[in-house]
Amino acid sequence: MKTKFNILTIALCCALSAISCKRDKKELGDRPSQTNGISGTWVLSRVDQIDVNVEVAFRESDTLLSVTEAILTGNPMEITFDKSSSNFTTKAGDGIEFFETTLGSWAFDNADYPSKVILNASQSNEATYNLVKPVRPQDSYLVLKYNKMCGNQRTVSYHLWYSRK
Amino acid sequence: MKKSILSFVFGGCSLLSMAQKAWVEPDPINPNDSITIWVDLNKCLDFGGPALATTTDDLYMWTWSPFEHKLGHPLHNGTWGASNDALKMRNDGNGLVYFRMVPTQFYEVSAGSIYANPIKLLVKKKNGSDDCGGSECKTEDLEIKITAPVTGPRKLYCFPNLKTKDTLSINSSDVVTIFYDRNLETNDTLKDKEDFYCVVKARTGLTETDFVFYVNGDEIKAADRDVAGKVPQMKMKNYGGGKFGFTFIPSKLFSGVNPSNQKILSIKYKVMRGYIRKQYDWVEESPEYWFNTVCN
Repeated sequence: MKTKFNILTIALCCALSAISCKRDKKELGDRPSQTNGISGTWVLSRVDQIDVNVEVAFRESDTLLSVTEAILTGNPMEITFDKSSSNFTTKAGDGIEFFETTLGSWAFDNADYPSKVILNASQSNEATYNLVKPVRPQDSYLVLKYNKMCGNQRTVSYHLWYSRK
Repeated sequence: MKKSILSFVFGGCSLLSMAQKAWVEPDPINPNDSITIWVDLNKCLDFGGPALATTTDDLYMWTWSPFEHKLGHPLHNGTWGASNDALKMRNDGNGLVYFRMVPTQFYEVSAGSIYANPIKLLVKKKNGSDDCGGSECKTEDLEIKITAPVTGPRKLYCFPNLKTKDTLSINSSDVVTIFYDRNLETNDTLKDKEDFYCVVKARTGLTETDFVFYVNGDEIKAADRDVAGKVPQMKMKNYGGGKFGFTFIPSKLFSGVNPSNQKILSIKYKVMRGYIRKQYDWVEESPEYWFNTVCN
């Protein structure tokens, strides 16, 4: 009888603890807007160079090298994205050479799931930069990929890391 | 490279290419893939070469290295009086002839053998004994050395890596990094040192003297012994583990000694200590890397 009572007590405790540990359901909430995320002023803070000629890479350093010290020797460039006007401006400084166009309009390739930032779309000075990682309102960095082309051949790429100002 | 400069700089005719009688494309080659052997008959001045440059007769390759096929093989040279039609060369006009092959298949040797033994050939008429201006209808012996690709650890190398044997895909306004791996150093004097400078000069023309520099690393004079004082901007960063690197933008680095902003065709460098006390205070090699000069 005592044994049965013990088993019953243990089973009851397990049931109670299982109920008490059951997590509340959480809602995912709205997807963070990258249009809100990119809005604001960004300062170039790091530059990585990507070797596009490496066919087989065993380590990241085989294809990527920080070249910040060679690029950022003085005041770094800044770029500002305005979400309401969809315009961007730049402030001259180290790294501005990665921008053939220094002001105009900007847009994502896809407003909901952006992978590229397009500057001056459909104009003669249109320039496209890949988003290396998402840029949500809580993100501290905006990372753009600049592909240097020679004809239709990519000669080298740079990852431009911007810190939120 | 000479051929690349030819097209980069002058769109097809540089002085350097004048010396090139035979070459292969692409450069570097893959011995297991298709290559094109080119011969410029205008530059083959011995025997009947000059006559072959203007002839309309069929021309043939006669090759004996890295391997010569025996009589009866479908790719045998044939006889001197009657070349094998399988070795007929294509005429590209203006004295240029070419032959396409996959080296390992054509010669039936390994890729290693292609690297170890140069391709040797001559160009001839079907009957090599015909009279071509008093000589046999053939060129002099031609030799094309195939350089094996660099693999494994390297003492001196660059980032981005070379796209071809000695040429970068970037131009002089891009960032380039020179690396020195002291672990592979054979000069005992340098094995425990850390004060390294990458003394770079920039080529602005095709002759031996067409360089701009702060210090000429290939000709260190007594006045240049204090390398650290002369070119502090060329100090190499110690990455640890015996590796050192120097990152720079050539067009910026040489702006002080290149006032007319001449196009930089290549960089040549020598890694050395901050103060030169003796001749062993530098790395023996002095590589030169050519830039892509097609695009700015």
